[in-house]
Amino acid sequence: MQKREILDFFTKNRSMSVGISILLIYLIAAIFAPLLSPHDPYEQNLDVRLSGPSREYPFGTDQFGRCVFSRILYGARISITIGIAAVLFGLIIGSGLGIIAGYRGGLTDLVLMRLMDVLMSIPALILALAVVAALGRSIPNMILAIGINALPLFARLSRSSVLSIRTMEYIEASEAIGTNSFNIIRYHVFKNCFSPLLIFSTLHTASAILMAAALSFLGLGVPPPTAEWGLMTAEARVYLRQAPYLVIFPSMVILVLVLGFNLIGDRLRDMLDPKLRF
Amino acid sequence: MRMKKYILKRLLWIVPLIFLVQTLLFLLLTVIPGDIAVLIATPNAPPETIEALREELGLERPLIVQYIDYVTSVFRGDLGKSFIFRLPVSEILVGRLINSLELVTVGMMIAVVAGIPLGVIAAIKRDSLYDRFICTGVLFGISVPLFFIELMTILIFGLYLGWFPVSQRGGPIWTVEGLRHIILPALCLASICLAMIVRLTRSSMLDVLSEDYILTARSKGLKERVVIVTHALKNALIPVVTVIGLQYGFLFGNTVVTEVIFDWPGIGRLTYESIIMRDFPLIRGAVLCIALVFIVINLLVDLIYLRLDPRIEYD
Amino acid sequence: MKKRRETTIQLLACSVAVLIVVSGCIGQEEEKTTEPTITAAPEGPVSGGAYIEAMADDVQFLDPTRTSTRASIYVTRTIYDSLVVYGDDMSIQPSLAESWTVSDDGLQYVFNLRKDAKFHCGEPFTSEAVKYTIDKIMDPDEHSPIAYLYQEIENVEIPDDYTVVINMKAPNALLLENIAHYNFGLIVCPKCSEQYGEDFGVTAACGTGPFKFESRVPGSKLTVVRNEEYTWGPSCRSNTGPPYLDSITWRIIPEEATRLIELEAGNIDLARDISPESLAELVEAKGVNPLLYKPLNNWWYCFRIKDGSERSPLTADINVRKAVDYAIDKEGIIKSFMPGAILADSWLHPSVWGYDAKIKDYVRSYDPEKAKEVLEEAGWTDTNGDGTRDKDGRELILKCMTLPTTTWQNICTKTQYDLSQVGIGMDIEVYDSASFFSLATKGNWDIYLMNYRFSNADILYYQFHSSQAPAPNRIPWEDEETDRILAITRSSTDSQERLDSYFWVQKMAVENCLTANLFYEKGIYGVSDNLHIPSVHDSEELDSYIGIWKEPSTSHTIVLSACLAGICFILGANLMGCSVLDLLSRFK
Repeated sequence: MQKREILDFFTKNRSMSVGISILLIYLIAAIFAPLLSPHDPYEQNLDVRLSGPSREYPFGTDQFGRCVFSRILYGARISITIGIAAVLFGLIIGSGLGIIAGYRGGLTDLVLMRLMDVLMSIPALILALAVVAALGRSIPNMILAIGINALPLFARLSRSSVLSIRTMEYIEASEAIGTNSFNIIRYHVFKNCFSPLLIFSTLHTASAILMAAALSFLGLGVPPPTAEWGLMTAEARVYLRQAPYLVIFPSMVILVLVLGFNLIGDRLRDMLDPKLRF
Repeated sequence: MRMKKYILKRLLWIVPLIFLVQTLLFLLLTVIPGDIAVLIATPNAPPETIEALREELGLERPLIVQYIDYVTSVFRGDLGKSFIFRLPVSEILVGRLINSLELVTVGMMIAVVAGIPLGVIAAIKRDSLYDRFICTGVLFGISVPLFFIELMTILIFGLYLGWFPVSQRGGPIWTVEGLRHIILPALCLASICLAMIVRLTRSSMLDVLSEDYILTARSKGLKERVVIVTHALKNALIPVVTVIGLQYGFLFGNTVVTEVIFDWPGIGRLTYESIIMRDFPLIRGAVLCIALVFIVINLLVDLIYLRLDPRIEYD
Repeated sequence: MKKRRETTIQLLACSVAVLIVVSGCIGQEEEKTTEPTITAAPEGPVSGGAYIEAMADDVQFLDPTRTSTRASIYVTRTIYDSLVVYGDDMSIQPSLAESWTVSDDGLQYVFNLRKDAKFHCGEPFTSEAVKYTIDKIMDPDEHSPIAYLYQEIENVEIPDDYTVVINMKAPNALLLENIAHYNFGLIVCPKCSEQYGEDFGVTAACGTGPFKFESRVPGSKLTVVRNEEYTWGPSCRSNTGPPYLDSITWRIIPEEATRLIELEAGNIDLARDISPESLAELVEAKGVNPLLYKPLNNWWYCFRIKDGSERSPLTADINVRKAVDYAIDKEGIIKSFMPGAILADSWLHPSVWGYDAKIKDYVRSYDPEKAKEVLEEAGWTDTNGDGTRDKDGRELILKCMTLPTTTWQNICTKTQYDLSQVGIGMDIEVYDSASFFSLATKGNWDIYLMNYRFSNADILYYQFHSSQAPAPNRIPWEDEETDRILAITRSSTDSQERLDSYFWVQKMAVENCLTANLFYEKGIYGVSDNLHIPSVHDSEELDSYIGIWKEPSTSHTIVLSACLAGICFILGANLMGCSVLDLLSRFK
């Protein structure tokens, strides 16, 4: 791709540019949360609890009189971290396992891929629930619980790529003269799989954020008073009728972020790999 | 012949798979802190009572003994007795499983019935206002947190409009009560897979519509309706059928939140609650049951796909 | 031409939406037909009506000797009766026992039983059932969770069919109260219990109570129906005959929002486990009202003062404990999260025998300045400027354990903020109740939130006697003088001496700041307007459900049009399903 094309790729396409700008806005919100937020997200003021949106509190206040807007800004840090870290975990470990399985073949391959089958045969949310319940409620454990679900996907992808590369003549030749072909394979795998891995990572980040929110909603996420969107929704559902905005704002924020990742993922897929359907 | 061999291979693999799922579960449950004896005995009972209860529940045995006992009894078809309900796990699971399948099936039905026509419309009227509208809807559909839709549904349909009850199952689906109870949770569940079905129908329909034989059919002077329905749609539906199968499995694993919010007595909520309560036999039984359904659905999807598209090779 | 064809497809899609709306109208039409026909409220109690109650947790067993969870207590109290019950003024009143005498040394209880009571299975109620039940609770092989309440009993004798003699090893002044309390003294049918064995309380239940066990769907619902022959209700209740309600159904609805909406939609008559946060909603909502009662439910923070594990608790320092007690804005918590609750100044509810208002003189009230002062004096200062105090290189960050319930988490979050204002840090760790209590017993925490219901002063014994460590005395408070005084509260037959002892223990607990008492909860039920509840007992018995009655509603639940719409929907769905199947089959 020429430089010009790359630039066009990002700017001329509407859904891509919308997606990118959504992400940028969230990143700015996350990084500059202390500067942007009108209040301390943990500052309580019971006198103004459960008051609706106003100039002072753009998104209203929650049951402790904390500023929902500030909490949402700080929450961006946590949700984005969890989403990206979980996918990175799945990507690095998963594709690592896939490459090893494809390269070593034989028993290693069998064992690793069967393990992946096991992970795939338990629904993602149930597995995540069990993992968090077993390890305790904290952000690293949530990342682990969500990341585990991404393992099989990335492992399969990179494994099949390794298998197809292995049959290439230059690899066979290099193996024949006794050089270590592992590094060559690793290089080619990443080159070959780059686009599907990128697409899957982007789309998976979207679902990882949704799953993190669902976990927190079910009470198996981060402990309070953390400003996490799923937890904010979960805490607010008792006030669903008194203060529906407490549920609506954090959910909307999740929706838009996930939408951003989906827009980018979709577009990447259309551009890089039109054959892929999901 | 190869087909039969392949099916046999897949079926045989289920047994070790289940064994591995059980092992994984067992390992997870040994790490899990706390036990149900405290809940049964109430928090303020003296430690001796709790010890005695643990003994009675078999939690004091060495782990390896518990493991062997558990694995062998599962292969004998005995899932044990629930700690909390004191009923055989299999007895509890059957009803819950049927309830969940019912919910997922109705949800899927709604999604299919609404999704395929929407996808077709979007494809036929490509780049029209309809198409844009549907595609945007789809994007929102896959991006919205399920619990948000559900809370809003409860608020609007359950409370403000008061049309539907928002909790529990009303009875068999063919009765009015049963139907009224299932409609809201099923609609919410449908909303997430509806998006996938619409999007796939659309893209696959677009592919097919650009094929030469559609052009041929049109140039033969066939009616547009015949071209779309008999020539285009039937080919476009092949990948859609697969995705319906996959989505069915996906929905089945994602009923937890829906079942918790709508108080649907299904297997997802049962699993969630038994995890919270540390009812080990019930957790194992429920997850095993879900995994089995999941595996079977995936197998069926693969088989259907093989049958529909002979170009695919057996692995 | 082209347009028309597409419209068929569009129609297909639209019809789904239309049908859904149509089937939705079923519910609306029902309401329309019922509203104008509601007649004026009848004057007195009316028999009949299926009563539906929603609660958050499921029932464990229906065998009172094997369970003691709250949900199980509600249900078992309708199926079984006990020898004595609490009256409205918390005095002991006759039920299955018509009268009783206690020997002067407190070592022998003689009960004279009613002669007209019958079990649901038809067996007459006799002294044998009482002996069987108590023996079953005391049998070590049964692992009864309530056995500890009966540990002073030597044996039970039955000289004749309607006399029971309980001989004690040591006096226990609280025996009658224990029998009246919760499910601790409910009498089971010996014949059925033997016959069903392990399944008694699971698939069958048989007692003398006003309701008979009907059916159960685990995790979903449980139904009991009226015992028509019931005439032996406790004389202190508003109704002693058969209950007014035809049946009671408990529905397990874990989501509070769902519970409330179902109540308001008229699908349930009473919702239990309503958090105080929802009080305002209940007041506003039409057709329902909150019913406030005062459960004997005390909330407190428990401090850990010594630990077997390597981490010594920060709260081992009495000054830290005192500072925390001063720093917590209890009034603030009550105002925002527990409307209607009363500030607690002791362990005991003011209506419990053993409470003494003198304790108010010793209680620490909210005073953040005082908290800072106490910490400064004890050497806890912020040397590194991070906003948290420290001493000898150890940061003052408390480990706080709590349950994953909104109310619990709200209280902890508020406390965390209060403590941060005086320079005390607090990490909140959330555990499911199954792990919470076993981890709390093991230690490695500084402070945990707790609430407990107990209708007599014996709770002091459980919380502070050294024999009760490691649980429920999780502090653990091990002090010989306290043990000696606590022993008096159980063994003495002199009520003044017992009162003084109780006061001594309460004063000791406040002086040593073993706990930070928060408040006595105000319990809330959400009640539908057509339900009449004569009284809610302090120990949450809802008058044993005997006196509750429901205004008859004249609603015709099945309307012809509703049926028609339902059939339309099914037909429509089938048609569409068929057309899809048809399409699928064509490409074979």
